[in-house]
Amino acid sequence: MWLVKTHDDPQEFARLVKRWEEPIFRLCARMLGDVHRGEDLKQEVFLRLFQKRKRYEATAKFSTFLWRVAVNLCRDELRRQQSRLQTVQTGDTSEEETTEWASDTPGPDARTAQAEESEFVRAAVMQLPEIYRAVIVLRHYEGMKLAEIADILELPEGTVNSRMAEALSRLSHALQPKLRPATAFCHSSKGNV
Amino acid sequence: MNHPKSEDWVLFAYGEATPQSQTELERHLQECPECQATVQTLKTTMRQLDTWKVPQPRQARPTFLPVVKWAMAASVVLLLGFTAGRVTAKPDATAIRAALLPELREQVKSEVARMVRTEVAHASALTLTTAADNADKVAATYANAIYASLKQDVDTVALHADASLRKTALQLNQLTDYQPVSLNQ
Repeated sequence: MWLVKTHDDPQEFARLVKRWEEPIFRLCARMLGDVHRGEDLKQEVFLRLFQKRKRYEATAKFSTFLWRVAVNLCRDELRRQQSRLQTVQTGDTSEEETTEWASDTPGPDARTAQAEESEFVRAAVMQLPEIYRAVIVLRHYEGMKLAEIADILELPEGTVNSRMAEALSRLSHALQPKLRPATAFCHSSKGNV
Repeated sequence: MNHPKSEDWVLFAYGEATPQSQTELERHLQECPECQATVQTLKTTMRQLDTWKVPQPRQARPTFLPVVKWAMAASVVLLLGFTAGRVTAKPDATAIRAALLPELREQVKSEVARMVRTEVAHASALTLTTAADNADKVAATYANAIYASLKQDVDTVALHADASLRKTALQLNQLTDYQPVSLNQ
């Protein structure tokens, strides 16, 4: 990234894109709940990355810088979606989650149990407020550590972990009736060990 | 009994608890069925989250790729057309020789004439007629020798070209599965 910043090196930038486009795509697709919009936003991320290359400081981890750009763009897009939805709100809150999982979802007759479970999970994650969804995507799906997520989101680690606990609690309640019967995971500060 | 906080179990489930905390949590789990159920539910939720798969993204393609593709296709067509033309044409060594030799003769003549003029200019012991006669003989000898050498070179080039074209034709036939064109019609 330093070469991109100082020399506008296109080959180096292409190398960066190749290395990072898949994880960034996964983030965008899960944050937006849509493969095609995720694809579009992924391209926007790298465009924005190139536009902001002069702001990159070599003292910071490049991955943190990139993830932060991506997460912020996802947030912006989600706010735009919310704004558009509000203009056509009919009062039925279920319309907020009408986003289909693009063409990779087969028709109802062809869906396997696994595909249905995947769809339930997707819908449950999409029901999470953005602040919890971001943590779940970064922590659970991208396998990041608490410290790195805290850097990306510019939050204390304790806050990140609390949001993670709350997100898992909500997901547990959302998924429990539809999937496996189990006691829901409750987020509560019950006391100290 | 004091139970650990949900945040502690999240750290535990994701393997980020400190070693000391890990030990204490494990000890508590052995004694607390309620927390065992809590951790079990947490792990079940994590497994359920894993069922949501994201397909591979489309590879980033530059906008000029369609143009490049068309250029490549056009190049392939041109190459095939050129090669087909060369394959179907009858490589004729005789024609190659016939095309090259006149020019070679002219070049030899002019070179020999230059050499003769030089020879004549340096002759001192012979009469002009004798010198001229000798010059003619010398010129004829030089011309014949050079011509014979060049003719041999041209023949060699023609034969090589012929062999190369035959080889190319065979290779193309293998690639395209066309019936081989007979080159000895």
